[in-house]
Amino acid sequence: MSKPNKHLLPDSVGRRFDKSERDQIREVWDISGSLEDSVTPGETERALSDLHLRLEMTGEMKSKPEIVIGWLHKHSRLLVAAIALITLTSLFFLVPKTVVVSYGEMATVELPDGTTIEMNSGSSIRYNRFYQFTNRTVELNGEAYFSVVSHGHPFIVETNGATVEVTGTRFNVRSWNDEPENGVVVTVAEGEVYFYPGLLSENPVILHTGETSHWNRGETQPSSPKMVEMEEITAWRDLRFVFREQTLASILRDLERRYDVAIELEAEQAASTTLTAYYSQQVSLESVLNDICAVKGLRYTQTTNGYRIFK
Amino acid sequence: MNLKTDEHIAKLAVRIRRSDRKAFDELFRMFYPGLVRFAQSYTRDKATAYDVVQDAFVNLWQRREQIDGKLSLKSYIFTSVKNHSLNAIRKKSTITLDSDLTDDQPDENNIIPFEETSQNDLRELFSEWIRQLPDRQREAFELSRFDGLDHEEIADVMNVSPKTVNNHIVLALRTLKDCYQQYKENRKNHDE
Repeated sequence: MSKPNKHLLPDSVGRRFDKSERDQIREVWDISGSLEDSVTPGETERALSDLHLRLEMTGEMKSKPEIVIGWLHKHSRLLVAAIALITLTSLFFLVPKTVVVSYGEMATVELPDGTTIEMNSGSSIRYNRFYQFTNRTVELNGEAYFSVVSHGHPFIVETNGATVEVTGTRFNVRSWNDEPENGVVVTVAEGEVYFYPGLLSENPVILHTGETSHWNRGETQPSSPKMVEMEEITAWRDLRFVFREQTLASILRDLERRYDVAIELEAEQAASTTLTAYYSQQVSLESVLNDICAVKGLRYTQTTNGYRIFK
Repeated sequence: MNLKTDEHIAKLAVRIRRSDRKAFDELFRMFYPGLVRFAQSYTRDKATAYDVVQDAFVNLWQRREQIDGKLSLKSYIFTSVKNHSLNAIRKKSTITLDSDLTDDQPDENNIIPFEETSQNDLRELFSEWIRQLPDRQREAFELSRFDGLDHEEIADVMNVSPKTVNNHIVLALRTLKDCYQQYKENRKNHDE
């Protein structure tokens, strides 16, 4: 009796003792009730799973197998259909939900808990169908702005080897798997965010409002927080561009995604050079290309599915 | 004993009859420790006691549709464990049934003499005193005290009248009280 049990002294027993003895009897009854069980809760659980196993093996239906078999024969087609249906439904639930935003488009996704994800062109997210019930984990490739609603489970973004963990807050994640050299960049618009590589949650970088940090594969910790102009980071949400010391290769990828075109760069040595440009409003692709070529001393020409940039 | 628990067990019985595995598991968790102890008092070894309790539950599940709502599920499962235990002993035939059928008179020689003990050892001492009780008294006492069976249920399990059950429990408590009193007196003398 690990916890003192409540079984009372039966009256018919109590009555058999003199008044003078009753207090002592009650004491004896109480002490006996506090004796330890020789069987631990762990042993009970093990025994219960043994029992389950045994019931599975002997087959609980053993008492009337002929009925089951008869039913099987009669309804075999029904059974096949039922099994197929069950398999399909379980597959459906196992396959995560995926949202892909095409090139040239933008999208906002609202998750069941009210969290919204604004997704830049060409981005994709993936999450479990039991999102909110088991955990709140979202996989991201690309760039997105998260407005997370507080909830029982922490909200987690897994992206190209990095993890961002929050409770309720707004933040931007830029993480393209076709631009591994740029790694993962997390910027917080409001609240607090934990940012760490993979599963190394014990040593996170903690970011507060207005701070940014980046991480590249192979590094043990993301860079220490740095203040940044939030407006520049989230310009994409207004279909604007702000390039701050961004490589030409990466800028051209942004343009390809935004305008859904293919841009070939034939001047390879220019690919890794950087550029800073600020557009306060939406612009056409050609005006951006004009600016780039003017600064870098390049030219461009239209192709069947996009543009070619050359020296 | 405890009306609330009894009502709850009656509900479990109804659910088990309808093949509710959760109710079955709950019943198992509720009574498993008590049933192992009870079985062990017959089988004298823990491993056999485990097997016996497993057998009884397999049996209960296989016959769940025959559970009689009017009869106590408690006395049913304890009786079942008892029968399985007796069968196990017969098969083994290493232990005679005599110990189960000994006379009910308390045996003064069984009472452990006072030893120097700390307050913490009091429980152990109690366990030992209970172990030393004549089998029938101990059985009735444990079913009442530990497992919360009422006199009718114990009577069913032990196959005696409720009045006899009462006598067993009264005698058991008297012996335990005497042991405890002696212990306290010895302790007082020792302290002085």
